[in-house]
Amino acid sequence: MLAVEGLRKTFNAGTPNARVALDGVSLTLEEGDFAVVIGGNGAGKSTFLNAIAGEVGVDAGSIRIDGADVTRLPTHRRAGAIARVFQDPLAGTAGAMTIEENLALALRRGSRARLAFALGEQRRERFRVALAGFGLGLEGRLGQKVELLSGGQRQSLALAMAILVAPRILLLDEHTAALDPKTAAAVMAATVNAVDSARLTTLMVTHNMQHAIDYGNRLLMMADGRIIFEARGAEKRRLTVEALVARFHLTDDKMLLA
Amino acid sequence: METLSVFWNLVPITLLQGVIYGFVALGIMVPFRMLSFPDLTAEGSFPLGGAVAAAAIAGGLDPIPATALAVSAGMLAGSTTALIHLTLKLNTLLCGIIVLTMLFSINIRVMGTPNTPLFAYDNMFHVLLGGAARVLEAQIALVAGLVLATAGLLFAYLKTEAGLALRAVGANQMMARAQGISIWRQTVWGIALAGGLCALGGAIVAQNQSFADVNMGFGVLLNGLAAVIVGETLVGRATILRQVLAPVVGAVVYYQAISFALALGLAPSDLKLLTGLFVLLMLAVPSIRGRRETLRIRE
Repeated sequence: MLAVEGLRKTFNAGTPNARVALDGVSLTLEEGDFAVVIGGNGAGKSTFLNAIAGEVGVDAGSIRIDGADVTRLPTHRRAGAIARVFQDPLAGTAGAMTIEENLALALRRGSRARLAFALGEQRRERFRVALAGFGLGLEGRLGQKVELLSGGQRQSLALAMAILVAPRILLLDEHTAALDPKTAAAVMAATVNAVDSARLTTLMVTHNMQHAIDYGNRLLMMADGRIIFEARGAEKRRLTVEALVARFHLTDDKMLLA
Repeated sequence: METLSVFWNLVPITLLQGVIYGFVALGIMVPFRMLSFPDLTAEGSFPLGGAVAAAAIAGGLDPIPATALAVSAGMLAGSTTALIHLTLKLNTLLCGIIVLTMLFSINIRVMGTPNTPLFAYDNMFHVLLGGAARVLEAQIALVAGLVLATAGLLFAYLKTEAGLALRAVGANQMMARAQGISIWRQTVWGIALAGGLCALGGAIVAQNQSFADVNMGFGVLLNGLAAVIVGETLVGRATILRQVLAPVVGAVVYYQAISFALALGLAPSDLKLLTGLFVLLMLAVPSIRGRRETLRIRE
């Protein structure tokens, strides 16, 4: 599925501001794995996700998806296999375009855009079904511009776009962090529902320790550009927030706000 | 009353000018509104279109292939601006200035002289209108039909999957990449399309006035931008249909307004100052009201 080998990345290499973001990260995700990544600020979590997505080029190491080496491919040429929801609700959707147009783009993620009308009644029906599950009433507002939506609605749309066509790998980059608690819970519930029902191979970065405990079958902790701890299966299920915090002396305020 | 009668007599000729510049306004709307790529290439691709069409017609090519050649040249000019921006990560405005300045020399090379008279040759109006080639009303109908057909095609294109991909690049590049859209491909194609539209405008102007001049592009960008803004004020830009109609409507209204200013007795040389002040005012209104920027600038 996803095989990452010895990823290294130094920002501003060769300058006094050089910062090692990835210091030899290796990870293999099996089909259906739901891995949660935690770690303090600057641990390399976001760089790791960005490297997998193609937004950040790596200095060394390799990234394979279903055996194919994508290490040197730009983001848009990996998009067929990877869907992503960003922390910023504005990042994953096009505000100047309508809800249905955003979904139409997601429907063709990674495929060559054709010279055929992007929207028809059949597609709209599919979009209504996809949105109805969120309970936000977006299914009745397909023709509205996305910039009119609230942050939570926009993030729900971004999630709906990511799972509209099941991706080989779903990347979630603290995708509920910018939302109010109630909305965050709703988006998280929708995420877990989608991941479980489609058995999506998922890599989720979170600052929320409770989410890290509650969700996924694997937990990865990063620090200083390395994966320093991993728990899976039964071991992961036994973890508690207190145990994690105590064991790894996590002092980052954000990580305690479970 | 004299002002009104002067204006009234100018209406038909100004109408023809308006519909011709509709192409240019469309070519300015696409980069600014669809791609968030403020582009100045129009100032060079417009006379390039005139120069190429004139040189080709004077060289013996039929007017229609000559016009097509002009459009291709404009697309090449647009692509050049886009590629400079994408490769060197320079500000889009600077890329446009570099290209339009270089085009000045190229346009003279293309024609061999700073201007080319075409009075001795048949032009596209002769080919398409036959005996009615010199009838102003027929010319207006022809160009209005062409510009509306072009706007219609553009509207349809922007509703296709390919058109959505183009708009996504202007709306949110991060999202566009994540959906598998190539920023390079869409930017080059979109700016090329804009260059082609501006060159088409130049080619039609040259054939209509029966000569091309290397200076014919001076101020065309600001005129086109003013037309886009007027059109958006009148028609709006809430939907793609409105966004595509606005430049055409705007060009027609803008040139009538200019004609009215001339009828009032303003010197033609004052018009650029007036247009500049108008555009400035229209851009200032939203920022004074604290609304979001009218012109989004790409990083």
